[in-house]
Amino acid sequence: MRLVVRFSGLFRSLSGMKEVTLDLREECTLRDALQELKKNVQPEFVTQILIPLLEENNTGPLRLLVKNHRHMHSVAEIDVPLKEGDTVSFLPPMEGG
Amino acid sequence: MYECYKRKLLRINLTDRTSKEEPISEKMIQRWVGGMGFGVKLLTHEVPPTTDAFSPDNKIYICVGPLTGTIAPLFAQTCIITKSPLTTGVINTYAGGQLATAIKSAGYDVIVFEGKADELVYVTLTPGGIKFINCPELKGKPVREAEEYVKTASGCEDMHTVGIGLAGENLIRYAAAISETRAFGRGGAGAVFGSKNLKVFGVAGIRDIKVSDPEGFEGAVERTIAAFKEDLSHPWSLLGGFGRIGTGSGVALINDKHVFATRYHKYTSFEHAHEIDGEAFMQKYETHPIGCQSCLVHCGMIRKPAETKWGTIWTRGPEYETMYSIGSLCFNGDSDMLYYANDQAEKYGMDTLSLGVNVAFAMECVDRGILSKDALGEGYILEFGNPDATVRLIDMIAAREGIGDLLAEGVKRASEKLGRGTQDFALQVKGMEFAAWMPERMRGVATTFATANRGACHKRAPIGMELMEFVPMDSTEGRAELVAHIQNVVNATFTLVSCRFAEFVLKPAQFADLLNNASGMNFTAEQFEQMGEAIWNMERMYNLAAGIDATQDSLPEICFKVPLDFPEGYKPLTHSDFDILIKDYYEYRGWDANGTPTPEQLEKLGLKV
Amino acid sequence: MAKRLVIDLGKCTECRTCELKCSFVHFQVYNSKKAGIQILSQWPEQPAARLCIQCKEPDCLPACPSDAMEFTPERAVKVLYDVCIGCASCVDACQYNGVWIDPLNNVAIKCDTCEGNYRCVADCIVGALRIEE
Repeated sequence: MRLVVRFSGLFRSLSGMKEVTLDLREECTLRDALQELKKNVQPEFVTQILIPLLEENNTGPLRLLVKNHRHMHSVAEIDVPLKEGDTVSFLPPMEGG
Repeated sequence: MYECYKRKLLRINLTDRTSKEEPISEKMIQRWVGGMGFGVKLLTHEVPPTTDAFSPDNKIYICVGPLTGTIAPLFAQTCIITKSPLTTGVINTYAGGQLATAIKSAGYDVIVFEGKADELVYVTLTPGGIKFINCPELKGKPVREAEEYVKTASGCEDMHTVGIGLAGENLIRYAAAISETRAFGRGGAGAVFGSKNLKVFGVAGIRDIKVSDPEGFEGAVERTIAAFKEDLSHPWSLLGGFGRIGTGSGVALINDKHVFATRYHKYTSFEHAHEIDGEAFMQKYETHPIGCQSCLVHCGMIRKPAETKWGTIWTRGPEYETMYSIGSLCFNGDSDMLYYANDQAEKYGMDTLSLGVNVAFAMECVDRGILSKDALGEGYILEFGNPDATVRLIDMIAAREGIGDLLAEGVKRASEKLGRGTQDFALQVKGMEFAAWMPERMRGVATTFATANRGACHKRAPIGMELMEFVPMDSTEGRAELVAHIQNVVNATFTLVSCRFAEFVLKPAQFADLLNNASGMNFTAEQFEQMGEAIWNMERMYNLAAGIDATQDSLPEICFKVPLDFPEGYKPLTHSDFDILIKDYYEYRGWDANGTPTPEQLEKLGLKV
Repeated sequence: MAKRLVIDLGKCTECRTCELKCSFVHFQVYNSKKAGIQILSQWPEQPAARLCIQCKEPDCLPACPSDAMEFTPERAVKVLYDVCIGCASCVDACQYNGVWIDPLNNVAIKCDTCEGNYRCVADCIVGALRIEE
């Protein structure tokens, strides 16, 4: 299956790309996809975003990840298998009002 | 005690061109703290609720706060309180920059403008005294030009100013007062300046600004700066994004989440969003970020002169809200036009939010066959996504020319005049045009737009909570508490006078910490928040007396229609949901079924019944 | 010669925190007129700054008729506020626009380097200020 990952704002300069299409095995989880993503992006993105997210199970950077236009609120949600047609974006969070 | 205050109010009467100083009492400081608190307290006692906003009996209160002019970051805003020509209620409106510090160092916490000058004047307040100077030569002049003129004529290079352009002079109901690229945008304060024939107010001060406990205050400032630095240290910090690319940094998220009102709420996302967002402006125009006094966010984006189809100009911004109002709402994906329109709004002195909604309203009326596409005159087609039509219509509104005269009154009054069902889609509450965000999508936004004392305003909405889905955005559950809480807290921070963004990082206890060390008072977080609630109720009582009753805690019918690209898995807003939101809100507030604060509630808040 | 304060105007955001820090360190009040650095906006261009360049052979000190200026151990020129009469002879003597008069207390104001520590530098959030040997 294929997954399109989009980057906006600061994440474009950190990752060095606007979007990338990942070739993934069926039943792959978002966590697997993000591991795969490490090979595609610049090292800054790996150290500042992906490592804290994946290896430290930190919910801070989770707020940057929008799957199918929805935010996730527990690290467990990235272990759910992906479906064809899912979209994932890295977007800056919103606060206040 | 109270070292951070000047404890003086200056009353400037434009009718007889006199001024007098009055002391600000200890009781007033303890109860209402400053900024918005002072302004609302004064206006609601001095200006009868039925006063016409354009009457000489209306007054303009320019207020600063206990933290103004100190090194505490994000307290550089000035608060203007007046009776709004748009909502007819009390309006509080803010602008950053250097004006607040200048007012305080001139020796005042509040400047009040009363009466009406017999011809166009500018007023200067300098160490040399106060001057009223007739200025027929400034009639119709752009704000920036008028400000420069006043500074030069006064021989005062360190003067800071607030003034109006053509829109204020022409009583456009959403005219802004502009202070050096920063705008007191919402609610038509600029038109009140115009009604008083006040073109520019310039102020320069040389006095010291002190705090009660310098050492303690330094500690509180250090803690505050540490909190902001912690926030900014994350690559995902929202304020960090504001500092890098301006407030337009949020557009990508808002668009992705389908809450970016597009083509007059027909859609929830805009295919050209990436062409008019913060990123696009940074790439296209050479930019120098600036901050207000003592600010470490520096969200102000000064653009170097750039060539557009309509002329070579420089501007500051546009801000996020303008990318919505003149951008997506009008279906405009042309960044050059937005850049130019932003400058038009500054030049004429207009609130870009209300302005964009009025332009879009005209386009929607054409779509529905109510207005003619030829309403702009030869060579223009009034239609969505037409940049030339947008620019032309803005000129016509400022000059009150043709259809511009109708739209200068705001969409509420324009739709009342037009009839034919236009009221159902006039994007306004209490006369105030919609800010960005979609009540169709977010229940907290629906509640805020409907109940805010300013009308359809976003400044006190639980946007972060809903957009980030910490609470389901389409649920009525717990919304009353969320909304009332943020309304109270933000009101309290506006007594200081805080930038709206400070609350993204600081908790009520941290605001109180700064206030206490600066003033010598002893506010707890709860007392601080409750003061905000008392101000909210004071505004509400005044607005009720002004005739803004519970029937105006409502949304136009268009908010109950489902946009074409409404995302799957979410519930659109229904009337029954909305009724629940309002009922819950009144209950939570301690108001009766007619939205009137109960005597018990007023007593609890220490307000006179 | 004392270490110099250098400002990168391309980075400066005109927040004037340096001004208030300076007046607070020296006078325990916030007053930009009492700051030994002045930031001037000139939109749409980047800002300008006024600050003392710590001349090796300063013109301000010898111009003072009331002995209100002295060298610090770091060889910066410092104003003795109790002695200064606000005559502005130093202001006229300085070719670099590095000294001015506080109109409130009528004394000369200039950067004294905070004993070489330049307390303003650490507070500049964008790192526009630095000390140069």
